[in-house]
Amino acid sequence: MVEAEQLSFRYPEKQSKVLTDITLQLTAGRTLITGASGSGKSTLFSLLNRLYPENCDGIVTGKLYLFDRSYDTYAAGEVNRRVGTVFQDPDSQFVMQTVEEELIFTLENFAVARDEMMTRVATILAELQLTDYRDRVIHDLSGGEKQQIAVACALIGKPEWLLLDEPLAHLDPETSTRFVQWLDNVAQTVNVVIIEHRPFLWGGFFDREVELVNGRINYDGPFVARPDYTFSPVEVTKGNVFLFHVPQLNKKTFNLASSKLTVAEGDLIAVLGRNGSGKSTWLKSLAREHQEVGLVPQSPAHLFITSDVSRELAYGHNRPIGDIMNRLGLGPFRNDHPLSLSHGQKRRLAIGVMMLSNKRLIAFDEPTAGQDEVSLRALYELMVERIRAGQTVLFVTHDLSFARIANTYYLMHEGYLSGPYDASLWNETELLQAHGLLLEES
Amino acid sequence: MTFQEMNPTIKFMTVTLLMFGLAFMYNPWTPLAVFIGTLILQILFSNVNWKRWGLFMVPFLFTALGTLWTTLVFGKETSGEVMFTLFGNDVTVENVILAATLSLRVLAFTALSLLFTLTTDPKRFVYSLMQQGKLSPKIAYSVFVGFRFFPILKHELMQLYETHALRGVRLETRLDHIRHVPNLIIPLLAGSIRQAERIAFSMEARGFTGEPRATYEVVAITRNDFLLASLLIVLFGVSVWIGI
Repeated sequence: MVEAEQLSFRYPEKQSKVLTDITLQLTAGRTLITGASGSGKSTLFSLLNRLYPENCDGIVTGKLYLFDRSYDTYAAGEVNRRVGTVFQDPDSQFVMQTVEEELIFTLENFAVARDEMMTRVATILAELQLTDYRDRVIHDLSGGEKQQIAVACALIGKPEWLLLDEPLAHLDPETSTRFVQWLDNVAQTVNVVIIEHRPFLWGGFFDREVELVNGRINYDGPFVARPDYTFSPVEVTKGNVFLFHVPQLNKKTFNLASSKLTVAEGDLIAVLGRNGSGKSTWLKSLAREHQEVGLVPQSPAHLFITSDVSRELAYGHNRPIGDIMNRLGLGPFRNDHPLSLSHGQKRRLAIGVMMLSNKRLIAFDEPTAGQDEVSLRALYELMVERIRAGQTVLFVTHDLSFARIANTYYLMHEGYLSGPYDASLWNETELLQAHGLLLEES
Repeated sequence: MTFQEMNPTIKFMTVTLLMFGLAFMYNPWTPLAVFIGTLILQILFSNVNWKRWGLFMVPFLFTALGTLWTTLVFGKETSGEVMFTLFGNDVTVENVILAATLSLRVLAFTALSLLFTLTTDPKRFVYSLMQQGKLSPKIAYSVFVGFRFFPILKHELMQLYETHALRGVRLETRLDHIRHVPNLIIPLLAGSIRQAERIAFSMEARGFTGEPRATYEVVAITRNDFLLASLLIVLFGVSVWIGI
């Protein structure tokens, strides 16, 4: 499908190249494109379905052929009939309200004859074992279900290739495993290219692998299965113990049972459980009930109220901010708007805010979602630094490899919090399975 | 034959035409006749939830009463026969007619608008605008995406309020919430722009170019559409005649 020779790419406003000297031939089969954040894999992805260079005015040099024709000879939307795409974020790739309307949207774009549409919809849903979803409202589906629908919307156009951009980033381990198995079954006849910084989740799905490092191809050959990144437990020294009580909470669709959380100063706590089991709701309740708890939301940007970094740090108190600002490496950005920072910087600013407001417990909601290993290592360092300083850190996560750093565990299942557990939790197969935490590979 | 089934573009054009015409009628009887006639047509040819209708009507009823009151009390001094005295102001016949005209016009406008809004499915209206009104798919589908954005934006807004409350922003009363809105606009916009860009990419990747495309949902024009449109126009004609 793709033939690239000495392909380079840069954004118009930047001098440095995102992709350099890429020579690559993508052939039939299942290909993995991997690499860290900023390695250029998402840029390469957007060149493959011709969203780039058109939509970013990027500058391409070298040869790039899609289906034996140069990329610039295609009209807008033309190549997309032969390449189906699934994006990372389940919440921002749909246009219509229901699954059926969404599928029809693709068919309308491809000018399929009207009387053929309904049969096509029925056929694809049956093939993908999704018939029950036909009349469902997309907004009400879970993340995993949305990704399946996104695959259906891509495949209904009968593409020759299917591209997926980190489709598992927002899914929990159990849902991820199920999605991979399902895709393995349904994608028998279509060629697949998947961007993924964590190939471990895909088991033996691929037959070829391309690794990018700093915009260059570092490896191109058969797929080598390898273990996930590993994090080792942090040694903690516990201080005084506190008890937090979280009251019962009843919502329309969901009930959170009352729970107790025992917290020692300097402890590192992980809260695990399925998507939708109530972890985030519980965390919000905890923060609402207790002044000493500082919540860092999944997107730290939600926390920011003011329009520059130093004012943000100084908000709501009179303590000096200089020391903490410099320790977190935010000094050079003191006058920048908090929303203009990178994700890592935003997270550090959020932590700075928590440190300055004298919170005893810093609670992170899903800090690992969509993060690559480098970013996780940075998060790890930040957390360790905090517990060494005597604060307690708690985090909610789906990332079982990262969760290993914790010293104490709590599990959430349909609104019920159980725990504390220690690291021996990882040997309790049944308990893990009941909470959707068991990967079949491990 | 109901207003629900009526072609939305034709319905929109007819209703707009009537409103435009009403603006030139300076007597109280025409708007009154249009108001009553619209209600009768709505009862005959549609299946409207009258409780909702009533709720929507309430604010406009107040507007109408307000118009009546202010025109009576603060109306221009006119010569003519004085009908009665209100708070020391002489109210003439001319004053009363003018006040009734204005307030009945408000009511007639509202009845016509509600006839349209309460019997029109927004999705069908956009489809129809695309098919009969030659609206560009680019604009039409922006509207569809907009529909999807509402729940997402609402969710995002709630999250912002929650986290800001946790940071110690005073958000106890409704007034506190309203006062805090200016601080939320930038984060909300930043989030929305990112989302919008992602959706745009996703649409293009699925072959949407804004060029003419196939349509599954055909919103046809039938004989009934013209019948209903003529009924409305006849109603207007009769109302004008009553006014003269």
